[in-house]
Amino acid sequence: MAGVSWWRPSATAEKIIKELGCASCHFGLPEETSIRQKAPSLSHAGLRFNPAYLFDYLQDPSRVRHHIGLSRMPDFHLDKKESLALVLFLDKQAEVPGRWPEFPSDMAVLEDTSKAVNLAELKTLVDQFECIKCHSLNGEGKNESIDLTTAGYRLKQDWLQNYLVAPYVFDGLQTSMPSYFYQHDVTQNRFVTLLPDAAESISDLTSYFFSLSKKKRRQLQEKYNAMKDANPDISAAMGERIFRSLNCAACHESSTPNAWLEKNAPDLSLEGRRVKQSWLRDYLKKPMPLRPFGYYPGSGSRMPDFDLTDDEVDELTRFLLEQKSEIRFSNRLFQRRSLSAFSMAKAERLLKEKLSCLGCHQLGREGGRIAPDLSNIKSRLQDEFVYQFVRNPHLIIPETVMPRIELPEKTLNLITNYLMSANVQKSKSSYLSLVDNEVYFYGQSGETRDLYLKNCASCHGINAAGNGFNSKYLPGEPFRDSDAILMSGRPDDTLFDGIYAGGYILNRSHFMPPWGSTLQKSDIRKLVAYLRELCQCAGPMWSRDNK
Amino acid sequence: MRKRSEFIRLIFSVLLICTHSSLSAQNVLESGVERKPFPPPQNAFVKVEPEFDDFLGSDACAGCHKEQYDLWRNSTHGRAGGPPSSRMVIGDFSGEALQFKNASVTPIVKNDRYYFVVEQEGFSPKTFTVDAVVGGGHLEGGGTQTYFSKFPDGTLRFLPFDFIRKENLWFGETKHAKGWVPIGKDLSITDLSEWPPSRILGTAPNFNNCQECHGSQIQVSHDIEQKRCMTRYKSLDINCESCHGPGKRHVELAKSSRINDYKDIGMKALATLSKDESLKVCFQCHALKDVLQPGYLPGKDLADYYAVKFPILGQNPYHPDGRIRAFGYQQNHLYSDCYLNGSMTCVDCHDPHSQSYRDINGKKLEGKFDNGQCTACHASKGEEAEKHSHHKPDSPGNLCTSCHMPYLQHKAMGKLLRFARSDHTISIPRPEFDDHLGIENACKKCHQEISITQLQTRTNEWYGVIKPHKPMVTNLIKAQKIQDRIEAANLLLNDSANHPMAQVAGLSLFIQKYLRPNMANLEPEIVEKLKDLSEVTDVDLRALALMSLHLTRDNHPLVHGYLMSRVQSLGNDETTIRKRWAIGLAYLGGVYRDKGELGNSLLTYEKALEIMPGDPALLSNLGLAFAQKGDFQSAIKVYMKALDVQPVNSMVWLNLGIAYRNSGEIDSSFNSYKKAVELNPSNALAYFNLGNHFFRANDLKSAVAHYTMAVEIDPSIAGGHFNLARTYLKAKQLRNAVRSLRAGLQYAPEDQGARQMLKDLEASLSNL
Repeated sequence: MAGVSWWRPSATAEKIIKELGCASCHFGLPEETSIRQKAPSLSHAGLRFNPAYLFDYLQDPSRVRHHIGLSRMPDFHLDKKESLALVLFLDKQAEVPGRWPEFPSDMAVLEDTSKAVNLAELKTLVDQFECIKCHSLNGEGKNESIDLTTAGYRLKQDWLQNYLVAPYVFDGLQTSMPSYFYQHDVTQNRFVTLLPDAAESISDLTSYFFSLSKKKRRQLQEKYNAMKDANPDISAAMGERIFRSLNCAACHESSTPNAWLEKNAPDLSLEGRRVKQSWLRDYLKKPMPLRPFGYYPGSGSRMPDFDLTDDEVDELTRFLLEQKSEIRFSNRLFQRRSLSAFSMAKAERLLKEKLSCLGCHQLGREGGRIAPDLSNIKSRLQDEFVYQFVRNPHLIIPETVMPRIELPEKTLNLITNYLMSANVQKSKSSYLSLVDNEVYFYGQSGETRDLYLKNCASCHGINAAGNGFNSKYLPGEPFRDSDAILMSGRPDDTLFDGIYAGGYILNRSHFMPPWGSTLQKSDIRKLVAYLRELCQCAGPMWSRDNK
Repeated sequence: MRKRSEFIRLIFSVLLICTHSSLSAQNVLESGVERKPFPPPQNAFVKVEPEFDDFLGSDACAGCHKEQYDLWRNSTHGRAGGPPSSRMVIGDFSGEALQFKNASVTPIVKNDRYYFVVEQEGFSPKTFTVDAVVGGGHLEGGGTQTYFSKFPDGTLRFLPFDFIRKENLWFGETKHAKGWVPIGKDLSITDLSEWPPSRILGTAPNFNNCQECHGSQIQVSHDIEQKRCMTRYKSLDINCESCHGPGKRHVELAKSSRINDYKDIGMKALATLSKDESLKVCFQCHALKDVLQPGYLPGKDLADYYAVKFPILGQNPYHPDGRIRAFGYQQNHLYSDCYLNGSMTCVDCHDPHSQSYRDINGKKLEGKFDNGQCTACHASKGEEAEKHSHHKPDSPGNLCTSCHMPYLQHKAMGKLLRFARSDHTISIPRPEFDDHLGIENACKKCHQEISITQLQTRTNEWYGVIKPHKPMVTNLIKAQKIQDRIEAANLLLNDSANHPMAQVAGLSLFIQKYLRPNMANLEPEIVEKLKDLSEVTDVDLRALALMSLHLTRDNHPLVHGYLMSRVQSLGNDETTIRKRWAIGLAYLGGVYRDKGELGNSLLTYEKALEIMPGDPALLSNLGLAFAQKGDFQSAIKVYMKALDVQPVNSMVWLNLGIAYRNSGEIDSSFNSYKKAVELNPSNALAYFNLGNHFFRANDLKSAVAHYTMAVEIDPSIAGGHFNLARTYLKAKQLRNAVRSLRAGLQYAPEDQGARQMLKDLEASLSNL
């Protein structure tokens, strides 16, 4: 969506969007990367942060930095397991930018911060270095940098000491944190002291901050240890996948290879033709899980909660509803009508027993979790959008995974009217666990594996074992396309037809949608070949020459 | 189109006159323990069913559903039949006589009324008014029109002079498997299978029938007071309610203006039906089916009234692969891969309102040969159909239907006139196999000049190994050549074949070839296989398996115990299963009786009566078996029981009379005959037997009167004519005797005695 011409700046909304970094994930907003300068780098998170603190923080992020404008760390609705995985991953991040000379030799011996210290005495150092000129500490000072009160449980002790040696090495030369103690010599090969008792001062300052947080640090550590002990199976590798799922690298510097930097959230350039005001306002205020396993199913992406103020919500709502990019709606417009009780019942039965919609969408207690819940769609989306989108999804949202289903006009009208008027009891929405389910990523290149992952893996599983994350919400097990015995009984053409025309025509689940109006026939052929690779088998002998 | 009589087993019919001692019930099991009888039906589930007056006719729908109504009005269903009118009638009623060898039939129209005037040699001329027209000659594979006339007994009977549109000629369906033959001087009117007219519109006991399909909501009931039948129908087209069910409540709700508040508007949303439920709507008519009880109306549960797979038991109408053997409808779709491994229903291709064609997504198609019907699902073949078909893109050979749904002539109709229907098993052309079955191979439709061997060679070249038949079909083919019971059971009794039609065919074949009542030597493994089959979902298959166990091994304590537990746990399916079970046994009872295995026949009927106690039709049949065995006292007892249940059944009274007669109880016999004609003044056989009574009593005048009544009502009772001739002879009325003999010989030309008598009489008359 680059080069959007519909963008109408709105001073406040633009500022919010830029500073929160909405465009890092959403399509349809102007690109803006300043967030990456404001959010802390995670490339050396393992050196820097106390993992016990991160574990706690990620579950309920509170504002740490008050000095970076509107930007803030949002809540990604992580549960304990997910937080643990992510922390295990972050704790392994130890890459420091730039060339890193050996630490001064007098830093080798550091004070044991656990020993009793005279706080009052040490506090004088804080005053001496005028820390609270920028930082806040115990309620005093300024909010122009991070709060030092919590530094003792947020950070690792080694890191704080190293940081104080040469902050610019970690933060870059533009950092506003002064280097009081050391600097590189001209050869750039070693540090030279700027103060006679530099090492001791660093040690004392560190002791001071850590002594302030002794109790809290212990509490956090106990909780973290207990969680780790209880979940030995949770690994850093899981955390790495979550790191990518949530697109953390979109805001934070990271040295993680293959960090997911694709857009992974809806196009907001058409929000004004898509959603309803009251819903948008509520959603921005308190985002609910819409696509429980990611905008691209399986990727695990989530809309985080920025804990927006009412003013911010109002401003964003106003702005987003003004965004009405040119969408190619069909000339045939939605005919709104009031449905009889019979028609409502008919539509519901069609949805539950004939159409493929509930393979992905939830309705009441039934249905899949790939796509947004249809139970409350009437309060979320505009009638015309629903009608037009179902009619031709890719014309409106090119990257959508929603297949185009050929429906007779009457059925389309009936179903849309039903959805826009039904009062279906919505069950509580929640994200699927990113630890219990393995997330996966795919590009939009059209490569066969990507095609499979995007369109098939949610139900059939990453390796086609019939166990995709959505499978447990379906009435029957999806076909195990990797099962050589099952697959040997199926000709290639039958596989092709099933993908093309849906599970219904093979007397299997009508929840498997027909992809014939979405995928190219050549892509379907590729998928069939890919399934053959997975099952390591061929169709029945009589079918093998593609007659 | 009519259903061929050879496939109809009239379970209600009481066969012709039997001029001819009870087996005790099976009270002791093989173990010597007393056998506990099965409990009678509990009938715990009483269904509220629609009645005739709940139907309103299509015009009641037109106001609100104009779009659908207009589509329907111009469809084949909307134009399927009606009262005779110049718009409806396609036959030539210009007054030109149709000349038979022994009759002339003149279709004429006078004052907008249509008639057939029949002048048959030996009979007085007779005029039949056309009261109902069925068919419009619409069908691609040969469309015809048929005419019905009201008879004095209240029935509407089929007149066997049909008109075929494409050939533009009159024809008749003949006896002796000659099929449809154009009417001409080489054809006797008595060669027509329905002459004199005996097949009625609607379903009623004792009649050949067209079931309820050639019209809408056809109901034939017996009017006890009027002593005749009452035939009612809403229309002779196939109306909206034929598929949608009764509209009364729906229209009432619509008129109340509160219809929008109701979830149940008195109509089902047919688009939401499951595969099998959807098929049932069409199988009301587009299927051969056995009657379980008369009185079906749309909206009732078809399974309570008809068993759609039961015609397979007996003269199986299908080849092993499901293709039509002699005559059938589209029910063999149940053999198709599209049904068995797919979800295909009729309405996936046929638009139910317009009967035009569409694809599975509801997209309208050009016509019945449009590849879109197939390629919307079989997209793999649609990519480049010509690569699959090996025929040029625009050629007929590149149409899916040309090879997979060829129009096959139904053998029952012979070869002279076209009655070809597209093959709904959606078969694969296999030239040699098809030829072996006697089916015209699809390739031959265009390539008459190429031999089967060459076609097979070409098929092999193009397609290599062809997709095999379904395993159950392969088994059916193999089993034809097998004699060993165990070997046959391994092939034919398969509970997991996932092919209900072929499984029913397998079990039916096995029953007929290998099973008899009370087989102490039936192998335990076969019993186990039958048990497995008796657990399946399909009601026809389940009932047949239960029936087989009951027939063969009920006297074994364990099998009896098993059956007892099954009987007690039928639940909602009780009526559905019991009726099938009993009718299956009744059918076998009839088969054994016809073969002269009277002991087996009696045993089987008695078993059937245990399943459906007091069923008058079963009792009647049991009575006939007793009578055939010469045990008239038992027959009398059984008939009396039947009359306890159904005292107005004229045919039972008649058979009771015959049994009394054979027991020497002349007065009781006479009174029974009288009762029979009193209840049904159209009971020709009762008059005939009264004639016999008077003849024996030497009351010639009364005998003549009653024989005359008999042959008036049913001229095809040759014995009536011959006995009338004997009476005339006795009364010295030789010319009358000659006339009666000639009339009788038209229907029984092979009767050498009558022929000799005629010769003698003619000789003596010429000497006078």
